[in-house]
Amino acid sequence: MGGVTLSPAVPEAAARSRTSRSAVRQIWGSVLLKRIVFYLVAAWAAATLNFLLPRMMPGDPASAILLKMSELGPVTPDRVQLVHRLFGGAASEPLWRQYFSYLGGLLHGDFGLSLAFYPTPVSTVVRSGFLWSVLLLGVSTVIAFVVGTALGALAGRRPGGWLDSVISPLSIFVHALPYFWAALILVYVFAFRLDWFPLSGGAGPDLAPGFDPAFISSAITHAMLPAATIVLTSISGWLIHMRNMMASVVNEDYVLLARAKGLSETRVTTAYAARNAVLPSISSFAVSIGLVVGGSLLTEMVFNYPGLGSLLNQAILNLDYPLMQALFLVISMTVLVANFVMDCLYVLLDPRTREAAS
Amino acid sequence: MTRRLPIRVPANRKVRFGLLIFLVLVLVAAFGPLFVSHVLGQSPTRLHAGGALESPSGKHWLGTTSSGQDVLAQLVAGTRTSLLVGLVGGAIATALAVLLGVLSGYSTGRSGAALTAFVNIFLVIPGLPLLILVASYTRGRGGWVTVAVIIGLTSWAGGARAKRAQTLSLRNRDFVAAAGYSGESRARILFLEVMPHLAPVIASTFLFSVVGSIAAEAGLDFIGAGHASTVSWGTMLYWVQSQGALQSGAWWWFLPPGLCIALVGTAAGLVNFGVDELADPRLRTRRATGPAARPRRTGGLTPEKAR
Amino acid sequence: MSARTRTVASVVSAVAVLSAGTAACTSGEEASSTSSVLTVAAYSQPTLQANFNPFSPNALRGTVGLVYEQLFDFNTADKNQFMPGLATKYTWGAGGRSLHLSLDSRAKWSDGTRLTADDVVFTFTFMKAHKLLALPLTTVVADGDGVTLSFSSPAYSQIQQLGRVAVVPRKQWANQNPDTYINRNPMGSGPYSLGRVTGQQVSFQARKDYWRQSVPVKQINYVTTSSTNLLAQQMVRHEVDLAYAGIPNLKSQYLDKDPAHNHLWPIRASMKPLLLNLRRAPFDNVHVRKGIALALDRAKVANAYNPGVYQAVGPTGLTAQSWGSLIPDADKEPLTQNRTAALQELAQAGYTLKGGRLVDAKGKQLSLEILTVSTFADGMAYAQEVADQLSQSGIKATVPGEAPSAYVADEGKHNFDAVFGDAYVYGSNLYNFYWSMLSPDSPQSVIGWKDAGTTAALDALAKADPSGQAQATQALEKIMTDQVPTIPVVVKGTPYMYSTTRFTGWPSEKNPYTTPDPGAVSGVYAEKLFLSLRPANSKG
Repeated sequence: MGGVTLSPAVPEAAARSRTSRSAVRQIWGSVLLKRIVFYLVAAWAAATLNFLLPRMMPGDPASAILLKMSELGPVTPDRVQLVHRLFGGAASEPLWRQYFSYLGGLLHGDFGLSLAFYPTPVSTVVRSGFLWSVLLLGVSTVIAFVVGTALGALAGRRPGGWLDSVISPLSIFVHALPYFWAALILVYVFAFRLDWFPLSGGAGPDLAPGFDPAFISSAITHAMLPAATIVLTSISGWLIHMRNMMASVVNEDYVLLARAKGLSETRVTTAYAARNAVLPSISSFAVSIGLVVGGSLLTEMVFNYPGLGSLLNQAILNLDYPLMQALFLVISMTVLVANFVMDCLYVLLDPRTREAAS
Repeated sequence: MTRRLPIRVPANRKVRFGLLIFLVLVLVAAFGPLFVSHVLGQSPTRLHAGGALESPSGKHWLGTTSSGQDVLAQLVAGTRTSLLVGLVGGAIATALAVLLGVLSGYSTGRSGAALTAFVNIFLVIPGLPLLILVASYTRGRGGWVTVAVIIGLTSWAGGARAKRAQTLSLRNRDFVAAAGYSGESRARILFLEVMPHLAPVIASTFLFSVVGSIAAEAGLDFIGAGHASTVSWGTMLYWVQSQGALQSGAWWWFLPPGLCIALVGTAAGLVNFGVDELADPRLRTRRATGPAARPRRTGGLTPEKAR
Repeated sequence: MSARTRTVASVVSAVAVLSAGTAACTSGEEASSTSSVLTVAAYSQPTLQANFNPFSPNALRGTVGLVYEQLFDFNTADKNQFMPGLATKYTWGAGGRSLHLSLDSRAKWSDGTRLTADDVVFTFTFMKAHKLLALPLTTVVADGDGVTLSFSSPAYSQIQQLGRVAVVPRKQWANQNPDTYINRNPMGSGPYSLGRVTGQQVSFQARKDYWRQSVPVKQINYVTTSSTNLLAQQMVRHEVDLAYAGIPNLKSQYLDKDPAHNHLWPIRASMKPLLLNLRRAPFDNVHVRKGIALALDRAKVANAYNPGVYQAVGPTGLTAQSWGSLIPDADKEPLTQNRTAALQELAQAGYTLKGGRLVDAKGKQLSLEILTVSTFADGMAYAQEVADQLSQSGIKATVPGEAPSAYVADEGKHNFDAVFGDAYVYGSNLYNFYWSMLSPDSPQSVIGWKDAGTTAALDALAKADPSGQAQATQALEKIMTDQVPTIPVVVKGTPYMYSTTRFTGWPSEKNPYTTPDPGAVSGVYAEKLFLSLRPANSKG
């Protein structure tokens, strides 16, 4: 990580002249540029870490992979080379050459062959689970964030009020429930006993994935319980977070002043208190996506959901390092993109950061 | 700040209740195993201590597992393991989060940017999958300590990010800016002006890191990547799932480990309620007057007087 | 204000999506409840990737048996009878160095062309060229009503492997590399053609023009189930007709839920010994091994999980039911637990019982860690029972339990005291059973047993013609009882479970017309099974 350097500073002149509208647009543009550069650097760093990780680990993953490959079929010299390029190992090229061919391979989406699904390329395997997970996690995280933050704002507006004293303790309890435990209960009650939802899977078994109503409705039905699990267990995090920030912001001078000016309670809450209280929530949104991916690994397992979590589980059980490596990278990149989007939003919402950035 | 909690806080019922839960769990973790083995004569690992899936009785207070193990004995042994993992993992994660978060948020120029980048890079590495990967390499060597350390080392980034954001926001507040103009040293500003405002976030980070560590350990055990012969809440849940305790109607086996994890989280959350009040005087004074003094438009304007 | 409106709007739309999904649920369920579809829990992994290359180790189940057909097999669940596939008969010649296979002249590929001896010759040549045959095959030629194979050494013991070769059409495979070919559109000779493949299911459609007979089950779905817990729920709901995974509390969770329709037949096809690492002291001492063997109550181990599925086994590792004629009377029954005798054996190795602990002259307790996969509930239960029994004899036995990957790695590096998890398949000829367990050349032989007598005995059995196999086998049995290189504990049972709600005519203990192992989801076994079923409502 020593090589991390950030984008050049924004020209100072632009920062000073922030009276005119075009100047503001200019600042925003340069902030955006700066963010883009940063995330490219971060993506590179994540890829590098992904390169270093198997090489730092004890137990020589490369030889483990080659051993396993020899059980699955003949190991040709170019496959040996590929494994060494991705995972290092004793008989391999110098580190810098491995590194450059590794990065070159990444740009072509070449992660080698999966061991669990030998000889299917890792990229094919990852692609098969990507959309499932991203849709499931994306939708449930957005629902959880929006609903949780809204409820948190309501509860935190009057700390100690009736809403606060009901919602807050309840949400703390729900938040503390383990993902998979909640998932087990949901499966048992709503799928096994009540038979409202299917027990497992991503869609009806006889349906081919595609844009037809039968498949989409089946996919939604199947996603319902996994999504409910994720929403249920992550909604409280937002709620508590927002409630706490709201509770401390609600007595800030500017909020009190807004009240004193006779502004309506709604306007004070949304435009003054909530807008500022939501900032830390937004900055931790991307973190939460990382966490929820972790939680989804467990949730997908309980529901046999065909996403990245199930694939990762399968990779771990089969010692499928090529697949594992690719999954880490894909998940990391997804979180990076989410980070970027939310960072842009953060800058938009907090003028102070916008100034500081320039 | 946290050390003074038990003496200062009891004004708040929620906090008191949260602390009570922690106290009970700590006592169970400390003395429970002795009680179970000497008074009840049960062991967490002994097979066929009773019949398979016996419901709770005088002999087995929480019934038995499908292998005839005593559920209470397992729960008590699991409490010790899980709490230890939580404390160690939580302490490591919080220390790293505060150090890196505040520094990266407050530092300016290249060092600040580099720290921020460092935090962000760790942020994009999803914690649980990384944890599972590293744990599958260590293969249970070193028992729960290894697991706890790995959890601590892989789960600080979120907390650091939150603290960085807070610090960033605080840095631009008037009172910090004023301190800066009046020529105070940066270290002084950091510790006297910025840190106190971060106290609630730090405290909540610690509590939730403890809970997060316990949950992470449980998740690890649940997918079978943990140390199956260590009895913890996580391994209990693993067996609960793989043995279909719920379908067999063995609620006495299914409920306790999950509820215990939820209980710890709840306790942390409840304590957290009081901690932000402690650190934010305005919040505390208003609350101290009780819910009856609901803020009107002018209600919060004179907090100093209410004190 | 606008921010709040947006929030409300997104909540509303979320609710709308939710209710749309609930409505869709009901219609989806109806569509899939057709009685002509058979559902098999064939894969224990969460997701699938298409692979219908019968030569790939990761070929999806059903590739062989439903789409491609094998030559023949032996019904090991009954009395090892010959089961014809594409070949109707085999004849040995030249002292086991030549084998003639008579082919079924009716066989056709799914495109309507004849399956000829040329295709069989091609398949063997292709496999040989790509080193896919672990056989001393020299030549293969079309000959009379089939093909004749020649070997450089007697191949009697490999007859089952020969029969299990899946024949592929020359025209589709001539230019393929079996190592990388995924074969998304397989053209076989079997009763089914490939239907739809999704991430969690492979469906097979009955062929109307199948050469052997009309196909009674119109569609077969091979589905994935990632956990036994989930599988148990699916089976209770009759979503799955056939499964063979070790679900917990099988009796109460499955059989008792619907005794009229839910059935179990444990198929005992492999032996699970306690493996000691003979490279490590004191396990290199035969008296220690014998002592440990005598300290075990095998029936209790067998019943530690799902009673009735596993069975105690005798000291030769063979079951009296299947191999009775090959076993001396004295060794037919499992060893009975005898702590006194165990202590005597261990005393000869220098161990004495002091205060409940079995210690050597230096006071060090005899201890062993039993390597087991922590995620296999059944495996853990059996291993813990073994450890429990050894502990009661003063041996410090523990079951650390490892992730599957760690288990494989530790076992591969011989980093263990004891292993209780590996099982050795009997097959129709015991050579492979003993070879895989005892030969230093076998990758499954992890114990480090190197013994000239064993190698010679294995060699003799490999070359023995059918009449000499009994004698050659007994030499190996004697090595097992005298030197105890492994400690036979139980015969592993595959819980083959089937439901008669939709289909009847399943093989059972009373009518073992095929071997449902593993679960009869591939090969001649599966083909025979699926061609023998009939829809339940047509039973009359």
